[in-house]
Amino acid sequence: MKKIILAALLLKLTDRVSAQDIAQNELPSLVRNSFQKTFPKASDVEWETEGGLYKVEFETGLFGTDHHAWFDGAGKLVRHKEEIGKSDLPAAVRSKLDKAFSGYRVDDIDKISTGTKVTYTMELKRFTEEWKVAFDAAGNMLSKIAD
Amino acid sequence: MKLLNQSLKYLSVSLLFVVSLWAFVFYFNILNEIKESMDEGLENYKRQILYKVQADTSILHQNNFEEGFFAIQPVARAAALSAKDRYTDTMLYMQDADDETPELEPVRMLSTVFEHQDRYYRLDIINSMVEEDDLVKELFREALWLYLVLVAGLILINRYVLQRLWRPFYSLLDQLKGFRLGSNQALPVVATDTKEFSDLQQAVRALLQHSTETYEQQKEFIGNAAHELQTPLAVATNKLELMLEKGNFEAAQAEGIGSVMQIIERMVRLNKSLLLLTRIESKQFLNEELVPVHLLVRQSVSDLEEMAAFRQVSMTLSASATLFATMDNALATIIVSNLVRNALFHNIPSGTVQISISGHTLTIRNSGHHEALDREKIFSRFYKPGARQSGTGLGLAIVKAICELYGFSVSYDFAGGLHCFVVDFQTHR
Amino acid sequence: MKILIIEDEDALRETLAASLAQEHFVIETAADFHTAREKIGVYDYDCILLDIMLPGGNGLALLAELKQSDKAENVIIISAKDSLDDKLKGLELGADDYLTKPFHIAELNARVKAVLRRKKLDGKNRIEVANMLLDIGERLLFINGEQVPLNRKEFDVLNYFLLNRNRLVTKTALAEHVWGDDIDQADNFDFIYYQIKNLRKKLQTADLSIEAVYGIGYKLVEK
Repeated sequence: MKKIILAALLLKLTDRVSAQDIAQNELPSLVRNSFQKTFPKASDVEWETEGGLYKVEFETGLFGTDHHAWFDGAGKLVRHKEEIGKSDLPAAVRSKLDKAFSGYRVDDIDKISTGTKVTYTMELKRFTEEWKVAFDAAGNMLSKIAD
Repeated sequence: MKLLNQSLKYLSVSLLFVVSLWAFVFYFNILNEIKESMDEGLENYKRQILYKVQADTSILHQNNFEEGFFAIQPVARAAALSAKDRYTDTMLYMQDADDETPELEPVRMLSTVFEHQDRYYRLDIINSMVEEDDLVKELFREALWLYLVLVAGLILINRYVLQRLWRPFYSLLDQLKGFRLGSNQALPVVATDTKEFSDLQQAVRALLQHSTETYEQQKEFIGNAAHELQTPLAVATNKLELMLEKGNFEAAQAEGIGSVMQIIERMVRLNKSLLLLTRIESKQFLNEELVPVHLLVRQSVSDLEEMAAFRQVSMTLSASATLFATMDNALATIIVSNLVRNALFHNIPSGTVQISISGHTLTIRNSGHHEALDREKIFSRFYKPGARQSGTGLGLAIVKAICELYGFSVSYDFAGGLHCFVVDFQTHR
Repeated sequence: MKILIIEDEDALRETLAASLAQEHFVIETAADFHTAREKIGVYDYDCILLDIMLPGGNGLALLAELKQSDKAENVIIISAKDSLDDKLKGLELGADDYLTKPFHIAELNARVKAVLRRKKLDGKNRIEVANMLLDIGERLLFINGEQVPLNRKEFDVLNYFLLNRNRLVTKTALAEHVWGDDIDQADNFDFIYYQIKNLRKKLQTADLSIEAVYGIGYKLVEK
């Protein structure tokens, strides 16, 4: 039992090396205020530092849509990843999917905004096949990686 | 101090500590709670202001608290980057509704930094705080009230509940106080459902029962022993008397027999006195009548007149009134005769015996030994002051026993060189 | 004069018998309840000394029987039990006297004589010895027909001596009888001597005198 606890503690520690949790009141005011302005409806907010950026995980809406957002020290939103449904995909992406991947099941759709650039990532599955695919807003496939 | 008051005392002191501790903890908890709720309010207020800034940049110029509860000031980027949201307690000059002039009031302040159109601003928001000393005062008053109410409650519980709970105990105690061995009283009894009290009652009753039995046995033993001695003593006396009558003894032999007879005589008197005591204590004298004590005194004095004259003791009787007592006639005679004889025999040549009767009391004063006798021991059995050998040492003990039987009081005093015995023939029960 | 002694204690019974025999009485004894009962049934006695605690029964039962045949008035109860109950019951049953053990021989003598005297004198109550006459009822002493004044105690002493004529009366017996029983006798022998001396003076003309016996007591004898 002790060993397990120890192992869990070690895991937790190693986890903190790459991404360190920070408390709300340790957060720079600029980041905090910017976040609050951008996502006024956020709930279940958890902050950590990651690669010199402040990463926040939170949920919105009634069904708890997952969000991941990265801010720089001045409070500028650098990147935002949002879990969306298939119906929320732009029409261009949807038609592309119907054409190129009919018969595949679509899973884990994320909308990722970096500055003005928006990409959509998702997992496509059929039998033993499994792909990780990324599109831009116009429906161009950016990458296709076997999973 | 009564048990109930004792427990009240300890409970009050303990409660004082408990209430104080509670007040202390409560104060910090409530203060914390107030601050947290305030901080939440300030946070919401901040969000509203930041939202408002986007629509109305004019508020960016509100840089002091005079117009509201927030102030905005531009700050350098470097300072802005390192700034974090801070809540602080501080004092500001403010004018409350109940103040005539602005005065220093405690406030809670949230300081934050925000960016607007690439410029950085510092935002301070305040909310007036409850004054801590007010809170302390209020809390102290409340705690004091709580304490007083608790103590009052305790007193009431004490008076009506505990008192009632303990009633069997006090009842038992009262009965025990009034209990006398050998008085044929009923054993103490209390009605109670409380286990401890019924146990106590049982223990007490068992103990008393045992003591009473032992007491009775002892009494019976003395009685029987004295009784059994009567016949052998009679044989011894009579045989010696007969021997003296018949025999032709030389003077020395006869003298020896005479001294043996005297010793036997002493045993006889001792034995009779012990029997009498036993009989008094076992209440064998139930013949109560109105006895004219003054007449008994007169009789006793005239019986002893010649004896007194022979001993050169002047005996005077001054009876201002008649004195009647409700008791056994024989016992009344014993009281009077024992006291008068005692006064006469323990006297000195050309001494005095002064007997007086007034009201309910018979007072007998006599000259004698020049020092007071032991007030505690004089009425106890076999007390013989000095080197006196001949008396039984039971005469006054018998007087005392009779007085106790009827609830009369008998006392000894030594004043003006006279030993003084006073019997009050009034029942003190 | 016939006397029955009912007493279970052998030594005491014999002593009493020996003492009373000196008075030239006819003495019979009984040691238990049944013997006593038989004797009472058969003979008449002038005086009965009755112990209460007897083997085989209670002396009071005997007394009750005596009372039924009107013979209870010459009974003297002798008991170790100085209890009021017994005394009252005994006297109620008609006993003449109640004597608590232990007692002096002189005292017993006096009581027995008193019983016999009451029985014989039919209330006349005077004693004539030699040239002396003692009127018990009037408490007067006459010597050669002349009245000699006696005080109360002197009369009691003389009466006691007359009841015990020619018998030893110890000082303690005398003190007990005349001055009450819990008297401190050791202190009072001098007083008794003084009283006797006074009495002797008054009896100078009498044919009777009080003689000292070994310094223990006195004896009233004819000159």
